[in-house]
Amino acid sequence: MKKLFLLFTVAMLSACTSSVHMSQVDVGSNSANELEIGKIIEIEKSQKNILGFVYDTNYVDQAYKNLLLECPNGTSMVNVEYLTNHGFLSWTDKIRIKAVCL
Amino acid sequence: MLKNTILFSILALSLTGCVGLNTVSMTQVPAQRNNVITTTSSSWNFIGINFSNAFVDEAIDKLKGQCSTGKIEGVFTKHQTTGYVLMYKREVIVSAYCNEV
Amino acid sequence: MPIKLKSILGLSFLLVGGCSQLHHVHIGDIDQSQGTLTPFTIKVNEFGFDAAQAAQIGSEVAKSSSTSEDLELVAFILAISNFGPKTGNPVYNDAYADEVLSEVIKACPSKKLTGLTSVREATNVGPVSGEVVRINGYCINTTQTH
Repeated sequence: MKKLFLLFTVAMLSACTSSVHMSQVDVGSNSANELEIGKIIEIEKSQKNILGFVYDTNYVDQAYKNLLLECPNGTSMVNVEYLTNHGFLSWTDKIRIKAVCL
Repeated sequence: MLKNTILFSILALSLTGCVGLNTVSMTQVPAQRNNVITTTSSSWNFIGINFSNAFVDEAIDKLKGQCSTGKIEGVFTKHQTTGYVLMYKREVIVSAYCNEV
Repeated sequence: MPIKLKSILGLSFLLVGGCSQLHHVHIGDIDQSQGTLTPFTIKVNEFGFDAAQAAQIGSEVAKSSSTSEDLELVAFILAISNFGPKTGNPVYNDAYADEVLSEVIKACPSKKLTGLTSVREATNVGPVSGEVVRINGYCINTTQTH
């Protein structure tokens, strides 16, 4: 019974943790911020990583390209979050961009 | 002993060129995006021992050099580390827009 | 190592570990030319828990060798099940910092912001911590001219 409880606890605590490495908010020139703040757009790109075997960080560039496409007139505020979802001998790196388009 | 050494060498070699992302940052994206400027700057080290982070300043100088009279906007920066056998390459990759004021 | 000494070491580790840790800072432009500045702070935090480290500490201080071995196994299973780079202790909710941008927007009714500083920090007590994302900034109080 004790072992079963232990196994259950381990299973509950496994493969569902995350780590937020950084979250940065940046604001543009004040003349831009005087404009009405509209909708916040959200972009998320990720990369699966098995035991560290990845050879590029192109998913980050892809997220930035998407931001450029979604905000053709530029941005007034931007939030970049870089985090990792942990897993069994592998993990997923994620970039989340939130921005207010001009 | 020899078997372990061979196994370790294979493992180390197989991890050669693997990249780890350290940080990403970006400033406001401008509407005018005709003149893209990019730069990279890197620093090699042995088993992660570093004595200087001057390569970051080098990236800034290179970026400023590409836009000497304009305004640098929409700065997108990636800081990543690539692992090789006992050696690491720290790298700053920057892209931005150079707009004349 | 004798069990008592291990317990004392474990306890000291927990007490000494009760400190603040800075992971990342980003400082933005500060514009003091347009009026007086009113500071604001947005802070979100999440419970961080390193289960593998907790099990490892448990195995170090366990009285019986069988419990110690069991906990070591648990620590190993947890470590390989939660693999990947970590900043601070792992959390069980990856969306805790999702609202910072909208909170920053709400912080200034005038919508005039400057000097945003983004800080990723933590307060640790051994395997338990408060994982924090903090945004400090200023609202610009523009003087109305008629």
